[in-house]
Amino acid sequence: MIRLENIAKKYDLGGTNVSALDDISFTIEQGEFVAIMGPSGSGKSTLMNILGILDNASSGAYFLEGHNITSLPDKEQARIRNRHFGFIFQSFNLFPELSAIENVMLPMSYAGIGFAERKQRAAELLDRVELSHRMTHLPTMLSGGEQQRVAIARALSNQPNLILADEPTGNLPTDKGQEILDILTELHRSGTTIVMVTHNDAQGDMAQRVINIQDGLLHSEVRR
Amino acid sequence: MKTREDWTLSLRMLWAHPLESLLLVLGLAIAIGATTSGLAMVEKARVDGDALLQLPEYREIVVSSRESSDQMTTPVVLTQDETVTLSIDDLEAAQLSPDIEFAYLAERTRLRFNTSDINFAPPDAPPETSDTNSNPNSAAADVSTENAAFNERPPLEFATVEGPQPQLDEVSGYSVTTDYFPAMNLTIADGSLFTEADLLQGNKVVVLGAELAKTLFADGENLNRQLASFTNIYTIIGTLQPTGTTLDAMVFMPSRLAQDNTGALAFRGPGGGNNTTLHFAVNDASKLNAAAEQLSSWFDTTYGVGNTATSVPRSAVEQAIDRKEKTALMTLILALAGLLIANVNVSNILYSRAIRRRKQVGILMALGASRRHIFNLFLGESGVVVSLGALAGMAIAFGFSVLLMQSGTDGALPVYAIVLGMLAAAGIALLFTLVPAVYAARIPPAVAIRVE
Ligand SMILES: Nc1ncnc2c1ncn2[C@@H]1O[C@H](COP(=O)(O)OP(=O)(O)O)[C@@H](O)[C@H]1O
Ligand SMILES: [Mg+2]
Repeated sequence: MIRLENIAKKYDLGGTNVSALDDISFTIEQGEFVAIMGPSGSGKSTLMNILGILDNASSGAYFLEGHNITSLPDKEQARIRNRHFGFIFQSFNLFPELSAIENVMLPMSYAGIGFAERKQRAAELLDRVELSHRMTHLPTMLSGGEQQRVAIARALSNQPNLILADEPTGNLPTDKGQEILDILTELHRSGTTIVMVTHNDAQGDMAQRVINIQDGLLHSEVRR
Repeated sequence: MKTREDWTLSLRMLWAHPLESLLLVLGLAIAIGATTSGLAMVEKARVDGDALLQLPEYREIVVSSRESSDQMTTPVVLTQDETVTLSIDDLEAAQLSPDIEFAYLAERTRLRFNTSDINFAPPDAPPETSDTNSNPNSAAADVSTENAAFNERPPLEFATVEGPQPQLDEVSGYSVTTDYFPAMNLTIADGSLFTEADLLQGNKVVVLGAELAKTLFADGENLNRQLASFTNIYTIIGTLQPTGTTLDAMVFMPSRLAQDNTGALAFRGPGGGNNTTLHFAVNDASKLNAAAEQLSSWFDTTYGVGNTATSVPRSAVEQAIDRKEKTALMTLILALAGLLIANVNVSNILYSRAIRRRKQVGILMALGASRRHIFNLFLGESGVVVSLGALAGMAIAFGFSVLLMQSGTDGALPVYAIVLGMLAAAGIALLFTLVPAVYAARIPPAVAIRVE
């Protein structure tokens, strides 16, 4: 489904080139659960941003479903992010001004889904993450675990092929983190492709494959 | 295009910073209000000036004998030393220039009605139609001469008429010669205008302005009715079409002509004095000065340099209009300076707001917002701020207009100018908010998302 070829990302910091990623190549198959692991600052988030086309690689090629999407116009990139990807962040990143259900409805509004339909779908998604009793609450009135569940519902709103989760449990206590992992596992079982960054070896063990990054280089790839 | 959730987000963000948002709107309101008022004032000055210059009296050249113009400034009246008497024959000077279309006499006059059946002496006022020539000295002189004459007379029989009486005690108007009517664009609605013959024979006939015609008699009938002043009986021979000017409320009668000491027909002015003012009207205002030059040199040659004065009322009015327009323009320039400052300020606040919201932009892009979408999002928000400011600004301008109107002479600002001015000022304000919107749309999402 996804193929990266010799991806490199360099940052120009006042004359000195910092290489955040170098010569990264791998593929991700439809329905896989891939964990990306590595020490802090090794380039995991940079890689996730490139996978989610929030960032463009300095060199290399990115194929999605066989199409080279390395350099697409902004509008196309936005469309792909909206319809095909679902992002889950470490710090939840819900909009504090919007209620839980409005947060979930927002990406659907960009996909052009009618108001009534997106409202109904958002309600179903919130029900799926067991938050039907919190739909009209603002994020500030929700616990961290609840916020992350809303974020998952939001990531799922346009039925994405790929979930990109960058340390989704990093800001949560262990038991709440486990709830999130359970939901992701459940999603994987129902066919969604998942790429998750984690520091946690136990979490890595849940994945079918662990890609290990060190200093911007692909250090090892372990399949289970 | 902004979706419903986008709007919810935008409006709640504005609402989340009420003080900042209020200051934004307030600053814009004052600046847009001032600019709108300034623009409307400029437009009003222009429109009013144009309308004023359209008036027939500003196509006039006025020629008067020197004493009468001197009397305007000197306290001593030297009526005995008149060296020059302009006569109706001098109106022939109109032949000098093909641009002079009309030549006529026109003196302010007042008609007091004797509506009572009983004959009693009117209070202190002279018993005849009295001239209200803008010269206070001559008026004072007239009163004394008339009173002297009055005192010498035997007991008077005042003129009266039977039948319907006018509803007014007096009306003002003009004693004119026939060219006055076409020169002032006055046309007959009913009956007829008086003729050259009426003038020469001294017929006591009057023509009524349109408004006066409606109100003079209770039944609205005028033609062939008679009006009694204290010494004369006038017959109404015509009523005029409305002009929308003060002339509509006035009465018009033939100039009273009398032979002067040279035998020429002159206007018999107040106290038996001779008229000293002639009016010439051109058809095209741009020919005014040239025609005035010709008249002036002709009168100088005929009566001697300095014995007559030729003036063009339009020049003074043009200067006044010009001064008014420049004042309005100055106000507008100051207001625009204010608008510029307010806009820079608004742009700055929105810019720092966009910086604060970098992370939000990054997330929106992750969720599928394109750069264009982000741009629209921010522009929509500033559009709300600018719209509120513009509406409040327009309210300020209307308030200002009401104040102007209440302060009397000037009248309200034109509504279309206020609306267009508001749109223009709001448009300028919106242009300034493009800067933060473009900035927001250029935020790289990968960087924005890392912001904590
Ligand atoms: N915008 C940037 N400019 C310069 N350097 C950056 C930028 N983003 C990330 N980096 C650097 O790239 C490296 C990888 O960062 P990151 O991908 O966040 O690592 P991880 O997610 O594995 O902790 C780090 O050294 C970081 O400092
Ligand atoms: Mg990271």
